[in-house]
Amino acid sequence: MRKSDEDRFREFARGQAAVMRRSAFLLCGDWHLAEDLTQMTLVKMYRAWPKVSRTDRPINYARRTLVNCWFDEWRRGWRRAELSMVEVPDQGDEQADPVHRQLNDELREQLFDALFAVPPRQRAVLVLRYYEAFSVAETAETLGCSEGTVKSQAARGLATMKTALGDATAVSLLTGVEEEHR
Amino acid sequence: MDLNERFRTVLEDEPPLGFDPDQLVDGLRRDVRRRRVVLAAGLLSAVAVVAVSAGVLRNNDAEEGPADRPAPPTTPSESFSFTSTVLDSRVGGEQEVTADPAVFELFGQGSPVLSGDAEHVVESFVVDSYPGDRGKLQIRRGDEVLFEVELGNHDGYAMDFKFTEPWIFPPDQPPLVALSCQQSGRPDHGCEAGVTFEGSAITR
Repeated sequence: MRKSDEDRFREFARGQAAVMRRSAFLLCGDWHLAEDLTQMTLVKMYRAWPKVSRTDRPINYARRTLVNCWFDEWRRGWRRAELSMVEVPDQGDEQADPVHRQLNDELREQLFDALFAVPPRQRAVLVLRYYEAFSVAETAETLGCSEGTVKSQAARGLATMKTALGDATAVSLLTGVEEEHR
Repeated sequence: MDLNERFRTVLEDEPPLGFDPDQLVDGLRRDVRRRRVVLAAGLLSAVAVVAVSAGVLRNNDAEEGPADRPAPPTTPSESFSFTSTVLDSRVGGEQEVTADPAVFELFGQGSPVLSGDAEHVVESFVVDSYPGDRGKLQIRRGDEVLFEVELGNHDGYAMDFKFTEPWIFPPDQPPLVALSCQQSGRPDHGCEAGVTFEGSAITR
């Protein structure tokens, strides 16, 4: 790889490593696995970088690689055992209002549980569409499926989340989001 | 609060990144280099084995007696990397001087790092010259010109060449670098070029 290409990749890795790890965490629910997935993605991207850097959006390629790495890990099965150990950290924050903190923790836990009640592929659609703010077309391209599939998978994923959250929370969480899939 | 904000809530307890992206890139670069070295070493070993086997087969075909056969290699394959730097100072300086393009300055009758009885198996070489220098550079085996390049074609950038079939230089014909300078990029200086050869030396 040329020095100039490597410098560009280094810049990309510095800027995207933490961002990719957040997406990975929303996919897998484990910060350690998320970090592994991020590094796997960067390794694959480094090898393909001379080609990837010439595309309009290396970030889209990165997300596609990240999602595929996660699917690969998921299919291996043994990683699933680790997911059962996932717990939302509950260390105290002396700076935070304890009441607000408790409400926030509860909300986070509810959302975490609801998100991980969604099957992996649907979850990938939700993460790309609503966390990464990808368009339907970009999500379809990233996942290698049709736009119709993205819409149906998103609708099913949201329905699963709604069931997991219970009616009261789901109304505040999903109002408006579901409309676009009807 | 929309769904995007809800997702961000899930991420609020994000721990610090456990790896340094710069170190990751450094490691990847080292891995690539290491892989190349291993691959080159494998190729060189294969070439050495083929070269030795071919010599054995030729000897068998000639039905020579054991006493007539050359001694087996004492060092089957020893990697080398050496640079031949050649300076053609006929052109340059305050006076405008023209040089006969057919006349080349030579370097490389012997390498300081290799013994004179080694067979050189060259797998790759890198040509480097000074920006602005114009003229021709040749790599020769005896009188045979194996490679010729116009210095202006790369104009100061290094050119890297790797072979699928190596060049083999017998002990009495080590690699020669020849240079014919037609225009110097530096005042008071001729053309200067370097060729770094990499491969293995087989000593019998």
